[in-house]
Amino acid sequence: MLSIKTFFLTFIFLFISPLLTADDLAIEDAWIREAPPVSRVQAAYATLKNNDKNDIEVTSAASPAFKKIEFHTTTLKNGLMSMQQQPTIHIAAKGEVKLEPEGMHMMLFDPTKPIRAGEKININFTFSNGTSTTFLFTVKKATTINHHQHMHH
Amino acid sequence: MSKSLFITLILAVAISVSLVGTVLYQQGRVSRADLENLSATVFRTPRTISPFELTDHNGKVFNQESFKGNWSFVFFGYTNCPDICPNTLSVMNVMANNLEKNHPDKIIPKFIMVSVDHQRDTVEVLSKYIPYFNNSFIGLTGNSSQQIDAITKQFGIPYFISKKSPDDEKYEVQHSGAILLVNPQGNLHALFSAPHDPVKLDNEFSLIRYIHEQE
Repeated sequence: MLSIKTFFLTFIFLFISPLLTADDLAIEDAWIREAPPVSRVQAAYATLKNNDKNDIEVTSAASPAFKKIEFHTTTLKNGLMSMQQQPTIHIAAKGEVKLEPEGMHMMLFDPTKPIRAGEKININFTFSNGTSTTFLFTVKKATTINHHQHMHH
Repeated sequence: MSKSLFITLILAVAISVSLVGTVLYQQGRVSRADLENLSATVFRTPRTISPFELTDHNGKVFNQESFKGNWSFVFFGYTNCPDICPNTLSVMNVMANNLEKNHPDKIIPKFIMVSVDHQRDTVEVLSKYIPYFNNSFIGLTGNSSQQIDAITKQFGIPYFISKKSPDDEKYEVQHSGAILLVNPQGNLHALFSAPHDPVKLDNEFSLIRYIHEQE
């Protein structure tokens, strides 16, 4: 039987550890763009690293802080920037996927309460094998970030 | 490489580029021909802007005359846009801050977002949204598609409102990510295509402005 101590330590690990790993998926630079006032949608970004020898498929994401989360890719087609919804996020074996501004990202709909920079938000990923893991995202006010520098540092 | 060292290097390169640019120009070695090598498209002849009338986020009229007297960067977007629009407005904020720091002798250009979603982006909505990025930024909207189209068409900005049903309130607006540059005479001067890098934009703008001032 799982002891209370083990349970507690697992809990601590899941919510406090800066680099959370679940099976072989590691997440880095996990952040949510603080929504400007009046905006009901915002985006979440992160680098997802698959350390396993098998591909990983994230089939859905959910958070108590938002009504709905979708995977989107920003694309430029015929001079128009548009967002294409993606059914899953596929991370090849030993590969990585960057969720980044003007690329693939998670679109977060209708925050259940106002969310300000500095807050930490849980987002739960469900994988194609039926398991799920929660990752911690930091909310940032991104109006002074030069992402082109940010991405290459 | 540490982030601060990287930023210092970028700044050093930017400053050298602008110094070299100034020297070369004074020696007659920078000319309009150099504009061909920029990633920006500089129009051979700046284009006259036909009359249009929009309302800014403070409720004041903004028309083709309002461009006169200062350079303006114009972007087209909407407030319910999660990725491209806040990212572009943040790029414009970084640009504004860098221009203020690197060219304290020059007037800071106007930075404008024209809404391509006038139904949701009322003056009141824009008045809350725009200052979040920078207090001096300007948001523009209109009361009808015709009012918006009067500027988008002549600026060459396509957009498409993709409602899934007539009562869809969470619709996406597909739109051009380009930033247009209007000169202090109120004419359309150049086009910057997405994706945008604030340091590159500032450098190219400084060169475009320098050459325009010498003409």
